This record gives sequence, structure tokens and C-alpha cells, in this order.
Amino acid sequence: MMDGLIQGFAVLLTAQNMGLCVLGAVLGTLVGVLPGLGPATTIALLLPISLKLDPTGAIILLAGIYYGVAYGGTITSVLMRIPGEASSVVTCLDGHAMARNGRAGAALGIAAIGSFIAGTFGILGVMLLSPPLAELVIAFGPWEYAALMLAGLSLIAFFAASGVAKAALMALFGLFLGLVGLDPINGAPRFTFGVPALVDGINIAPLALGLFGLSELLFLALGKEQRAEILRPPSTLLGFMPNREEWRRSAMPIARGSVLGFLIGLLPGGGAVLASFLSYGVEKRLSKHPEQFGKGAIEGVAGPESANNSGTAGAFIPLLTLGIPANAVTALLLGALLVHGVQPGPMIMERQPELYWGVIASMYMGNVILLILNLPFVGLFVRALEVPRRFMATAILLVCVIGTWSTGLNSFDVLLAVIFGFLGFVLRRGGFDLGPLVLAYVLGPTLERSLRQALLIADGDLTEIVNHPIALGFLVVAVLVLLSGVVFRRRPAVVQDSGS
Amino acid sequence: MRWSARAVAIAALVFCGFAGWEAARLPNWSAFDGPGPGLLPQILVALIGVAALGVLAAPGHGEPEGGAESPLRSRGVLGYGGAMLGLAVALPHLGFILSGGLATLLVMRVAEGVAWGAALLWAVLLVGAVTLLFGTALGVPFPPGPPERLLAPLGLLRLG
Repeated sequence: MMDGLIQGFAVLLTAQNMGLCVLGAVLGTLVGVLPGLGPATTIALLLPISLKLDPTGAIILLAGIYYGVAYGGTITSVLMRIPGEASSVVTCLDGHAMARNGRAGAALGIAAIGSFIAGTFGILGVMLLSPPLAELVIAFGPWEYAALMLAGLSLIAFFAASGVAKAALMALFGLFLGLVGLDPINGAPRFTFGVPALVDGINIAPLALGLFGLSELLFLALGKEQRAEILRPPSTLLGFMPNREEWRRSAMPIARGSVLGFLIGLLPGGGAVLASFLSYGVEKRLSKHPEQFGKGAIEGVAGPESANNSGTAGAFIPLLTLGIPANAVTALLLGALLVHGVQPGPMIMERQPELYWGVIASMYMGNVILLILNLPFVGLFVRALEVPRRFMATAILLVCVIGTWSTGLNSFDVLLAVIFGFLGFVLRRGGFDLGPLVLAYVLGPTLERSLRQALLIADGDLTEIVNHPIALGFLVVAVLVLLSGVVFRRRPAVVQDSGS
Repeated sequence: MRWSARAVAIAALVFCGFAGWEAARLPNWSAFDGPGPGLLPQILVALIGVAALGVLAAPGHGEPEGGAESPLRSRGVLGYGGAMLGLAVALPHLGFILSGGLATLLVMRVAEGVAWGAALLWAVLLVGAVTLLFGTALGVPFPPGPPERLLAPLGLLRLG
């Protein structure tokens, strides 16, 4: 493992990869600060640019944005009571109350330090758990893979804020979109309607840029531009340091948030958002003074901020070792890897060790960069909020258009992106999560291949699954999860990492 | 949200009709290859129909994202939506620089209410920056239009 990590740092410590790591972390923080512009939108916007890089550099850049967002979102939550992105929603409650009480620096400081500790814990978890998990998964056949993907998709539908029916509809539609193009086994065209550009299927760039970039643009246009009150951050580094009592009260929430967030991050449909909400609930329940929550309890900042960072790291385990993304953002990362011809899965550590360990090393380095960036430059990031909407919106429009064009060099993809932009807007207006759609789209071809291989081997006999206990177990989980989602419809809803 | 969700569900049912008709033409099993290209699409179409009926039955409640105001009455949405569509249609004919510049100019003027001069200045700056980043620095071949044909011989960008 140490050899792998040394190899990873050797890959990372080149001028290009270090530059990409810093760029990803800075962009991620900036995106986290800007309300509305989520990690999925930004990763979608940068997807075409990342295709010009080598796979390791591309994933270092995009991963930097993903974990950088969790840091940046805190800043506006604390100083403005406006979450920069979904995983920082819960920080608004106590973080902003602390700022109102004159403890803005302590809130930002404990969030950054807690995030650093939890992020590092999460990366250690990825390093320690990925190899044994990969060993286990290597024995999986087509039945197990197909059932695992079905279980993952049902969990995503279960956790969706929109409810099971809406999330299931999105996931099924996403699976369908993944089937467009030539049949992978016998080459028959499916749903191409004579359009040559559809023969290779629907590319991820028009889908992602449309659903996340252009639909976000329409929401920016729909909303009214408003200037919120920004509380002043401390002007010196010492101003960010919590006092002794705040340290004492934060230690256990950071530890609990780190473990809880990591475990939640492993679940399909989990990730940073669910982790932060659950951590807040746990801290409030365990606190001797639950009445202080919402009025500036530092535990309500330390726990969730730690949980969302370790959740972000935890989501890399299913992505890298199973090839199954946990949320929309990791689905886009998977899409980027697939476009580069890299198939994440149990063999990635052997086949592409430079990519695997390079990403791990970049996560360590990214955490350090973010800790250094976060506190001294808070004031600078806040100034990004002063950029008028019209400049950002028109830039998104042109980048989406040329970005989509650049991946396929055909105008049909641009038209497709615009159609997906309108579709994403309508779906979000109807309360549908876009996460399950993108996830299922990315998983669709693998699911179909596995299912058809399994049926071919079993000569069409579905009962063959009883001879595959692991697959049967996954299938039972999938059915139970979906049924419980339908039966217990009034469970507390959670927000997913849909990128907005 | 209730209205929008039901509209999406009805659209999904219509989609099921078209996709189901297309999927039915694909073989779902062959003696040689086993499961055919139509198998999963046919299953998916049926399941999409069931999920759409589920959404129709329980469309959810609450205010839609972005507020209760109809997007069709929003100058911003109409302006940006029109620019998006216009760009997609004009791109193969006018190229990126001209159609992108015009779209930015119109959005700034119509949707954002910026004065013509400022709108033109921003359109030129933005299109210039995007062209330099994607065309010159990243080497993305641009859709050919009159300005691209002028710039290509100077080595500033390539034609796609």
C-alpha cells in the first residue's frame, strides 16, 4: 500500500497534475461559494476540457472540484445563511447563528479543521477498504453485477428526496437513454431513428451539460437577482481559531461525523448531503443541550461539516472498486473515466495503478490545499458573490455550447444538449431528482451487458439466480428497499447530491 | 409542482407508447445470441409506464423549484431559452463566433436589459475569451462560419 501511495505522489508531483489539483480545489471552493452552481454543473462544464487531458489529470481535476465544493459551501452558509451547495444546507442553522453571535471565525475555523480531519480519515478509509473490497468483487459474475446494480439503483430511488415513484421513473428513463445506439452484442441499431449521430449512442457531454448546465442557466434566468447581507469574516488567521471550550465541544462531533459520513458515503444514493443531515440529527440527539441547536451550537457545525467531507471521500470506494457511482457527481466522474477508456472496477488497482494511486494522493494533497486556501482567502471567495448573474449566465451558455460541440464535433449534440436543458428544467420544476437519471444512464450499458450475459449462460432461465446467493441477496435488498420506499412514503426526505 | 409532475408523467406515458412501438420491432430473444436487443427496452418501457402511473397517483406537493411564477411569463427564461435554441440552430450555418456573439448580445439586451453598447462589449469580450480558451489554447476545432474562416489561416483556431 505504501508503495502504491509513493507511486501516487510521484504521479501527482508533476507540474501539470499539481496544477490541476490546485485548480480543482480552487474551482471547487469557488463553486461551493456560489449558490446555484453545484458540483455536477461545474464538472459537466469542465467535462469537455478534461477530455483534452490524460485520464489521471482529468480525474484529479474533477475530483478536486467534488471535494472542494464541500469546503466552499460552508463559507456562504456561515456568513450569509445561504448554502453554496446542498451538503452545506444544515450548516446554515448553527453556523450562521454563531456568526450572528460574533463567532463567524470559529465556525469557519472548526468547519475547515473538521473537514480536513474527516477528509483525511475518509481517504485513509478508501486506501484501507478498497483492496479487500476489490478482492471480494473480483469473484463476481454477470448475475452478481446485474443484481448489485439493481440494488444500487433501488437504494438511490429510496434515498431520493422526490419519492420512490419519481426517482424510479428517472432511473428507468436514464437506463433507457443508455440503450440508445448500436446494440453492443449484435450491432442492431436501437432508437436511432435514422440519425447518424445517435448510432454511437447519446454522449455523456450533451446529457450532462444539458441537464446540469443549461437547465441551471434557465433557473438562474428565472430567479431574481438579489443581494444578501454578508457578515464580515475575521481579518487575521487567529480570528479563525476556536477557543478551548469550542475545541472541547467539537472533538467528538468531528470524530463521529467522520465515521458516519464515511459509512454513508459508501451507500449508493448516500454521499455528502445525506451524511451531513444525519450527523446533525445524531449530534442534536446526543447533546446535553439540544435546545442550543439552531442558536449557534458548534457541534451543529463540526459534525455535519466533517460528515460531508468524509462522505465525499467514501463515495470514491464504490466508484473506483465497483465502477458504481454513489451519486450524480460521481456518475459524471465515472462518465469521464469511461470516455477516456478507463473502466473502474476491481482490477483498476492492477491495470491503472498510476490513476488509482494518483487520485488518492491528489485527495491528500487537495485536503491540505483546501485547509490552506479556506481560511486566509475567505474574503476573496466571498467577493465572487458580487459577480452579476448576467456575466456568469452568458459564460455558462457559451461554454456549454462549445463544450458539447468539442466532444462530438457535430451540431446534433448541441441540439441534444439544448433539449436536455429544457427537459432538466421541466423535470426539476416537477420535483424530479436528476441524479438517478444520470446514474442509471451511466450504469445502463453495463447493467444490460451483465444481464444478457447472465441470461445467455442460464439459457434464459431466471431461476438460475438461486444458484448465486450473493446475487440473490442483492436482489432481495433491491426488492425490500423499493417496497419499503413505497410503503413508508412519509419517511423524512433527504436532499441528494444532484448538483444543485 | 403537482401540475408539472403530472405533465411529466403524462409525457412519460406518451413516450412509452412510441418507445414501446419501436422496442416491439426489435427481437427480444434469438436462438443463437440468446437475449436480443429488444429485451431490456421492452422491460424498461413497461416499467416506465408503471412508474409514470405511480407519479400520476402521487405527484407530490409544494412550490416548484424556482418559485410559483410561470416560466413562460419570465423574460429571463424566454430570453435564455430562445438564445439556447437559436444557438443550436444557427451553429452549423454561422459558426460559433457569430452565433455565440449574437446570442450573448440578445440575452444581455432582451433578458437582462443591459444597454446595447455594454451588451456588445460583453459579447465581444466573452466570445473572444471562449474562442481563445477552447480554440487557441485547447485546440478544439470550431464549427465553420465566416469569422472562423478568417481566423483559421492565422493559426488561431482549426475548423471542425
